[in-house]
Amino acid sequence: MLCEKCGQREATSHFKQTINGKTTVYHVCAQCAEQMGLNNLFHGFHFNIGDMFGGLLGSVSSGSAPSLERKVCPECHSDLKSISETGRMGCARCYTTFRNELLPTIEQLHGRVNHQGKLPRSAGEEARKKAQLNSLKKKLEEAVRTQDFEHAAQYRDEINAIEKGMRDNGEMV
Amino acid sequence: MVKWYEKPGSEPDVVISSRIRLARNLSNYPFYGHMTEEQMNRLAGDVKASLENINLGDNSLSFLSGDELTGYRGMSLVENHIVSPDFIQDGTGRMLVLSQDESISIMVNEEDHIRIQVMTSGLDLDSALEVASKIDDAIDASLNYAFDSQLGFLTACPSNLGTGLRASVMLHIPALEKAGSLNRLSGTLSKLGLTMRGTYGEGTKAVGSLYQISNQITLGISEEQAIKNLREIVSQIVEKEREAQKALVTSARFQDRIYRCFGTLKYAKMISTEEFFELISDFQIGISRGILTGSEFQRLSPERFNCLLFQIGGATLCQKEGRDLTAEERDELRAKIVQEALKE
Ligand SMILES: [Zn+2]
Ligand SMILES: [Zn+2]
Repeated sequence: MLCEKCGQREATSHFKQTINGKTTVYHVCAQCAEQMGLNNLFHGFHFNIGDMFGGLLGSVSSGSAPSLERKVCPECHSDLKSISETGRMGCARCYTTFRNELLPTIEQLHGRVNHQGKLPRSAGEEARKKAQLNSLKKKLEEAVRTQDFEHAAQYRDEINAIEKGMRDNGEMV
Repeated sequence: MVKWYEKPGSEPDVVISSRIRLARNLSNYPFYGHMTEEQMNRLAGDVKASLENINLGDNSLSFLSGDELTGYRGMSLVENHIVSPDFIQDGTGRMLVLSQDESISIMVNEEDHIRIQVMTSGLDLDSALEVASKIDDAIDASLNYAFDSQLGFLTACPSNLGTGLRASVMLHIPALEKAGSLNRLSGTLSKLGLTMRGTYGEGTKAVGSLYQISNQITLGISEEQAIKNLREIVSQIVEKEREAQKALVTSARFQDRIYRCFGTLKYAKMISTEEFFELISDFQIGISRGILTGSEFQRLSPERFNCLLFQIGGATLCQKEGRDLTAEERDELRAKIVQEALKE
């Protein structure tokens, strides 16, 4: 059997990788194994479920109308076909351009489609404050539940300070 | 400077290391693969400028061009988990930011524009996240991240959308593996949105009985919650592994095996990578569970052998010696390093 990587030398190394019970076997030659770092414990670093994304998206979009396939991202000129082939977006704008087509597959991957957690500066000050408030409120609830009153008081104060600041700026709390 | 893996960590008998990775992209460049070389170089320059004034104490950052990461130097970075194999395949327009102790590495122009990675020894996801967030904030202060209020941080691959956070823990779980418990564990993990992977050599066992558990879902779950889920499940696995090890070492046959591993590790003149992983795993159980008695074992701790994992890779040995070594030379040097760790 020939090496699956270079297709030139005889495959002498066989590596099995199991992710959540699904096993894939790689057949590679000694040089490629060394080059890919397969001989050490860190192989698998790069593999993720996203490698299946293209396939998932492809199966969703293959039945869609021809007009859809002609839609291209105005920024990077990717279309749905190239995205499902590579499993990667061409640019951030692709997510806006193909949002409706992508959402079902994204939901398949994550089970949810509403971001929770950290917000960058570009999300806007108001959104960041709201997220900070939500996170503090959750911490407060947890502190009250575990009768950690010292932290609870601290979270309460932080919440009050942020809410006061927002009211002073005329924002909705 | 002492490397991150040389520092003691918590639960060292089962947890080798913890890792946090954040995937980020900038809004004013197309994603990797859609940029010109000029754009990639400019982006790398932007990231460098945003990090120039960050204060990380004496753990300062170095900026390495992708073109420098060739030969055993690049391979050694792959062996020690600092960069992905893809990253060194083509260094064009790429940059690696690496801290003195190697705990912080930032790949620029990998699959995403920016991949921040922080490693700690033992089970310590919280401080890894803290450091990663500090770097993230410094970049965010001067550059514009691609972000969407519904989808979170926008990543080249939709599997990283949301927080862009991948938290993982590397575990040494030989006793659970021998007891045949891993299939069931893997099933349980996947129901919790976690994933387990091991690298397999020939046969059915993972190399060195080392497994990595990470969160699979990044959208709709906060950083804190993702880490809490992972930490809780890992703590349970640690307890289960300890129980299984205690049961395992009651067998006279297994005790014999531990001493045999010790004998080879101590006296062999050449040790290949495969043999190293085979021997060190069972030997570690002996150290962790106090099976090896006698003065020469008194000061041996699991930490000392965990850090060997990051020192014995073929390319890492070449890097240490500063030249290409033959397979024989590598095996000899590996044996020497192991024997050094067994001394005192
Ligand atoms: Zn090959
Ligand atoms: Zn695009």
